[in-house]
Amino acid sequence: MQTVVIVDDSPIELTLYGHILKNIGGIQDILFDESAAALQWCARNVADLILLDYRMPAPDGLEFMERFQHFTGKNDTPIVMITAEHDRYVRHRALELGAGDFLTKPVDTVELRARVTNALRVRERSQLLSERAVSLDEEVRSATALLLDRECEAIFRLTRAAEHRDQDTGDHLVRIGLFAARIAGALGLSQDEQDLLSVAAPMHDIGKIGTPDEILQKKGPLTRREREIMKAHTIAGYDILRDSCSAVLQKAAEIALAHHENFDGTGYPYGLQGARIPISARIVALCDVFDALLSHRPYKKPWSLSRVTAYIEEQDGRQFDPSVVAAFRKVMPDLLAIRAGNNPNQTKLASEQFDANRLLEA
Amino acid sequence: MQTDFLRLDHLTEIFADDKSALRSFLTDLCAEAGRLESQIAKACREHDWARAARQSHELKGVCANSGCDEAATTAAALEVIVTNGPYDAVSLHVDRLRSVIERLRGAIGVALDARPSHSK
Repeated sequence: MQTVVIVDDSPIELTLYGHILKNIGGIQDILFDESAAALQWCARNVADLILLDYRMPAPDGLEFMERFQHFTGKNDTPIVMITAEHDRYVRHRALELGAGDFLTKPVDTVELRARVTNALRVRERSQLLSERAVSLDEEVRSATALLLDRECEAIFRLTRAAEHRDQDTGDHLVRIGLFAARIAGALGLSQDEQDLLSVAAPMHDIGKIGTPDEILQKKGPLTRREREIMKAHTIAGYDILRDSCSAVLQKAAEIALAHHENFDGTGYPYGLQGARIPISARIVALCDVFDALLSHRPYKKPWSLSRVTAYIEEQDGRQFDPSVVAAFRKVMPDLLAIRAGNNPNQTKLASEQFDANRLLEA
Repeated sequence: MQTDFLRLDHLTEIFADDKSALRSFLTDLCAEAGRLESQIAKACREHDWARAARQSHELKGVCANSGCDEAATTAAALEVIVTNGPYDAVSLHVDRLRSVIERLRGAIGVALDARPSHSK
């Protein structure tokens, strides 16, 4: 059932229009002899067509249309203006305001029925097209989100495969993503950026896939040559991840390359300093060290929390960005809670926390 | 009934078989035409030309759409006069309008008498 709103200050003419439209099937008419009341109704309801008299006590037909234009989501309602005016200004202004058609008084009965029928038919088709567009849009969004979810899952599993060789760091990956998102939040980065970091950060060491086992799993200090080989995992990681159209992989490449840069410029591979190091890498640098120092490694025992925090404070402004250290202080209880609850299921948790829809919206 | 005062076939086409609605409409039209004519005459007596023009315009629209051609034409002529002048011709047009509306109301009365209210 389509709704036709008829607005005319003359009750006699309203009655006439109502009866003229009576034999058009599938419509209900709502009659208003006060344009202000009609506007109020239109603000809260949806009309499929408005038949509007021009000359009425305020608001007149043009003013009605001006106000109606501001009702969001209703601009596609066709308006047919009925007027005895031949004033060109009135017609032009009505057209500018969105009048789709004009009828001149005295109204021709056959013409009125035909124009209303046509306008309602166009309205119906337009609505069908809009609904189809919305449905297609939803399908595309849903399919894209699914693709993105799968992309993230594949990336995460690849990362785990690469880290599998280094048995102590499997859970470390999951935590890095969670830690990085928390610190990013404390730094005031957007939710999209936090989500991106939670997925991209675990890939920071993917370049270690090219590091020989004897170096990766060596118990004891590395030689100078071994250290150089180890350092090359940053560039190797960047090479693996770079040039992707995926926002996740772009962020991961940025982190992989720069997560061993130090705030004071003493890091590697390029000795970048301060804000020249991407914020994502500055965050992950601290997360990586915090978690690694608290964890067991083939070459060291876990450090106590007080020793780790003392080290981080000592490196404030040197290895680490002071703003990141400040954010770390704020969220350290959260990070410790994450560590305390860490288990293999958190691998799933990390990927579940990633909201593909947020990235799509971004 | 088919006169310049009331083209009943026009209204019959609109109301189709709903004779009760047509009767009710004719009754309302008779009252509305009389009311507007009185108000126009009053506005003219008071030299309130804007109000006279607005009400003449309204009467013109009501009559034109209802098939009351003579009344519509007379109201249109009065609307022009009260809008643009000359104002010394206004009373002539007001008298003319009163006469036309009286004849219209007469024609409506005849139509109503010829259409008993119970028929549908």
